[in-house]
Amino acid sequence: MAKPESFIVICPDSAKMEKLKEVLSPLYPKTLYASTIKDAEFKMENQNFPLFILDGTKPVLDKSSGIFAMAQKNFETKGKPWIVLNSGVESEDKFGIYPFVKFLPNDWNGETLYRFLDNVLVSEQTLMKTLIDVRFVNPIMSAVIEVLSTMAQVNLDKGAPYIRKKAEPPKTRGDISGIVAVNSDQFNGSLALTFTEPLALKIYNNMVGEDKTAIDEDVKDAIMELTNVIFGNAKRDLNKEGHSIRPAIPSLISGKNHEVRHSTQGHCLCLPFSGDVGELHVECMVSTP
Amino acid sequence: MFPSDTKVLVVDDFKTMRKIVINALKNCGLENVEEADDGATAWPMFEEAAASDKPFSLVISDWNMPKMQGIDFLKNVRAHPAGKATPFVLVTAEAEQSNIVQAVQAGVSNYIVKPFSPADLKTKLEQVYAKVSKG
Repeated sequence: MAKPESFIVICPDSAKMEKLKEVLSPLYPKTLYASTIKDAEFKMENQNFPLFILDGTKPVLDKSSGIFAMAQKNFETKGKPWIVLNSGVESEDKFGIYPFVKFLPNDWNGETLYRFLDNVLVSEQTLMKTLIDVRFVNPIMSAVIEVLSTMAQVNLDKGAPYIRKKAEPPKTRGDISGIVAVNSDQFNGSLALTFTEPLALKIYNNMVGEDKTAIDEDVKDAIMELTNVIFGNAKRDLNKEGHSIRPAIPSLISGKNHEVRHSTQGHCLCLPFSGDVGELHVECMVSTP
Repeated sequence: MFPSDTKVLVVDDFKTMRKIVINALKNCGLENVEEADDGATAWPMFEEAAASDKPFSLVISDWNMPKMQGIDFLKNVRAHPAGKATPFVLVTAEAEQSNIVQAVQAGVSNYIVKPFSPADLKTKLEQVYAKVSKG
């Protein structure tokens, strides 16, 4: 793995800062160190750090509400992983809400820190590689095409797949979405299928031979079931590639022109489809467990 | 194919899938159909019908349901004196080999993997009927 250029380390305790410098400088000589939030924000400006290391020892966390503001402002928008050192119950309670935060407990040393850094960075890169791999993309795409064609006699055109990076806002909207958890030993995430209303109605009417003109409970039921079937078929083929994705029960969102917010925060594979009456946007968001 | 007076029980937690299966059955000439939204709902219906003089002669059940899974419903049916030979078709989105083996061991008559078309279901039913007819 190519070593990242530098990290930023935020640690208000000068003795601990020295220990971190001693450990990190041989392998990561360009790492930047900040002792205050203000200092960190200044150093982070126009920089692209692959991850952030924060000392989480009490009472620093309790008194530094600025850290949480920074977590919202910088880390959600840039979506880079954090490592909280010296974590304890308090820091895990407070930072555990951020899916990109990894905790390294008090008894770390140089070796465990290096190993931890490598694992975090490798898992991020592995996830991205997985998402853009045709062996991941094709089973999902094929399941969508096959299920809609067989069950609803609806043939959609495939658009170009793309990756929406962690924390980039959704670019797509729709009127009804089926969502299902995509969890395995390697990653956690969700698959969302977002349909425009005309397409959802055409699918429903073709499936059951009715003539609905608006989304109702029956159409919602059908979209849930379609999500279930598409997920089941994609899962079967993905598991042949060794992913071990577990069974899950879908849920539903409906509402004119809504956007889907996934429960985990990670990179997102986006697959656009279009047909003569509407569009389908498929998103698969994954992050490390 | 099954005669038109065959009494059929269709079990699926999704109403849409029940509609699709019932429509397909109608296209096969089978109109005597009852439906249940879970294995847990279907099991007392099966028992009650078995105790009457009009038992179900064909069951088509989904696999994944929240209260009682299709495989458990199948096991209950096979353990019932009136259900040992009742044609039972499992519908599943789970096409992994392990599930199919489990279903065969439990005594399933045939299975159909989603997605399927009405023609696919008809073919499966014909296969099941041919098997049952041979005895």
